[in-house]
Amino acid sequence: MAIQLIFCVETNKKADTDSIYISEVIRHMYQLNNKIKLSWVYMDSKNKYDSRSVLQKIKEKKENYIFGKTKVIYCIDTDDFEKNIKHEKELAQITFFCQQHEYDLVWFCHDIEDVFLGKKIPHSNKVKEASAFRRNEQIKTISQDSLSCTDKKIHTSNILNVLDNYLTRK
Amino acid sequence: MKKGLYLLNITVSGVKNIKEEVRLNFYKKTIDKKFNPKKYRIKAIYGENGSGKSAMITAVKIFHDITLQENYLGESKTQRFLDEIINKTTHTFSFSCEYLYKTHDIIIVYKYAIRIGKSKNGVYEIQSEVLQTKNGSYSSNHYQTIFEIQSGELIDIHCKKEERKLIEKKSFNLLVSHAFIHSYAAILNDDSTPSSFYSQELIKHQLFFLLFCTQIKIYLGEEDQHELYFLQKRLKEEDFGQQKFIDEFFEQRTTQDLFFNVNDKQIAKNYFAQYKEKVNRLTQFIRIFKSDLVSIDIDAKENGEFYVCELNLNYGDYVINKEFESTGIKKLIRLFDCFVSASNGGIVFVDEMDSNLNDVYLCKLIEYFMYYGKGQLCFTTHNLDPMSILKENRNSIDFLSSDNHLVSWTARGNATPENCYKNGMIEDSPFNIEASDFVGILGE
Repeated sequence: MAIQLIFCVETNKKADTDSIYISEVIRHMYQLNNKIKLSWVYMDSKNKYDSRSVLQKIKEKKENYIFGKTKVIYCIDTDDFEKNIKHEKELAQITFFCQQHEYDLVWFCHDIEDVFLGKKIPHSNKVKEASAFRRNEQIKTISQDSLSCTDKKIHTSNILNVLDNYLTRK
Repeated sequence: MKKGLYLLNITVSGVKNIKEEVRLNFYKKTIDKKFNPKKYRIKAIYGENGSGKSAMITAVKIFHDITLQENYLGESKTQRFLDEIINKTTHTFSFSCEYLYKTHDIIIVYKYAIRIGKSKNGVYEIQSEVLQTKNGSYSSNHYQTIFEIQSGELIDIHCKKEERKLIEKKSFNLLVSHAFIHSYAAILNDDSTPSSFYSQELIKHQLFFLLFCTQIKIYLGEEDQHELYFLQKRLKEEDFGQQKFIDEFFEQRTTQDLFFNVNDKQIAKNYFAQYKEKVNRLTQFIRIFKSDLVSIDIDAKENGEFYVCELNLNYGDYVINKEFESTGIKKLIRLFDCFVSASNGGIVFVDEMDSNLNDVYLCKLIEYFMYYGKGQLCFTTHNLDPMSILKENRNSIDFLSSDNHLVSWTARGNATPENCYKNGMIEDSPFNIEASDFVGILGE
């Protein structure tokens, strides 16, 4: 059965670093074939998770994929949810939204660079660092345990737990 | 369609990266007396790089060469070519097709299949060859075998016992290295047996097959097709007891379209006048794109019964040899013969029709064939623009996936084929590629 995975990422298309890390995970750890369609929705910002334009893009992609099932996966940075009430509330709202719509939630604690590079990266350097990550094949150095967590701890993610539901490991 | 030949489908396997069977349909599944191919005459094949689009056209070329070139498999260059082109894991090439011949009141459907494989001594030879026929007026009719060959042995043939014996004797050892049509033609040409001895029905079926093959033209970015010329000449000149039928058939297409191409370098002297006429048509054709073209001049040098011809494009102030024209104009000149053929009832396959051609020209040419063409045109392309025109037809847009799965476009509400294709919304062509995939690979 064919499947479309729609990844909703926080970045915009011009500074799309999130999809670089996620693609690296998929391409290095999972088997891809013509029955798997990876689609991307660029939300531009985390707080646009339920905006009209984002929901419309998801709807269009779902409607056009008529020969298989579609799963929507929100890929979100937790940010400082332990210390910052605003961040905690935001995360809770997105989690609730995903549960309500039966969407999956992939979280990166505290952000995607924290998970894959082990540190926070200033906005202006994000593309450069993501580029180096791919070029140096740093994905091979990332522990799969840190990507298969259930509790939100710094430098960890649940991405493999979610992807394992739909894709087959290499 | 009042009268003529029509290719219904082809099925191919074992060529380049195509391992399993891939089938191209040029008409709906059901054939009956209401047969009307008007909306099916044109087909574009889309697919990722390396999906096997060119392999499909190459397969047609192999079939064409086997049936039109008498000693095709006997030539060492063919064996080397097949060694490269036949799938490296299966070492077996298969081609089959269904075609029909329609006259005012009858429809005859044929099914032809050939399989080539490597023998124990490492030579590619024919493992099986079958031709079948049925009345196409009713879809429930079943095929009857005209001939069947397995491993060089004649298993079945639709003729009298004595004739079968003669065919078996004279084609002994030839059926693995030659398409049956060649062995059969050689038997017919043998003057020691009167022509009345042979089954006229069998001759007719074989002629239909041969004529079907002569209708096919393939463009793989190459070369003159002298074999076709000689075969057509032979058909016109030799008496198989079916001359009336052959003449009738050829009446449908002007002699100048069948007997040479403007891209041929060697032109038989007795066809030179028609060749000149065709070059004049080529001039008119090229002038649509280059309004300052004055004429295309033929530089003809005598060589026995032929003229060796070069074409020079005259722009008034200067003259350019065809080979030094822009790549786009050169491509149009090379495709001219195919376009003429497809316009006049031919069955034409063009690989990478869009390469070097302006999008607007390409779309207008396709539009022309859709509205005015009398033949069939099947081409591979990467250009998405023609989709907006082709979607008006049926079975006209096929997508070949990287795992050789063929999907035909069917209307989906307001969705357009071009948007669905480029967004990876065609089954088995997900196009999992994003601009960001090149980050870190191409740049810093």
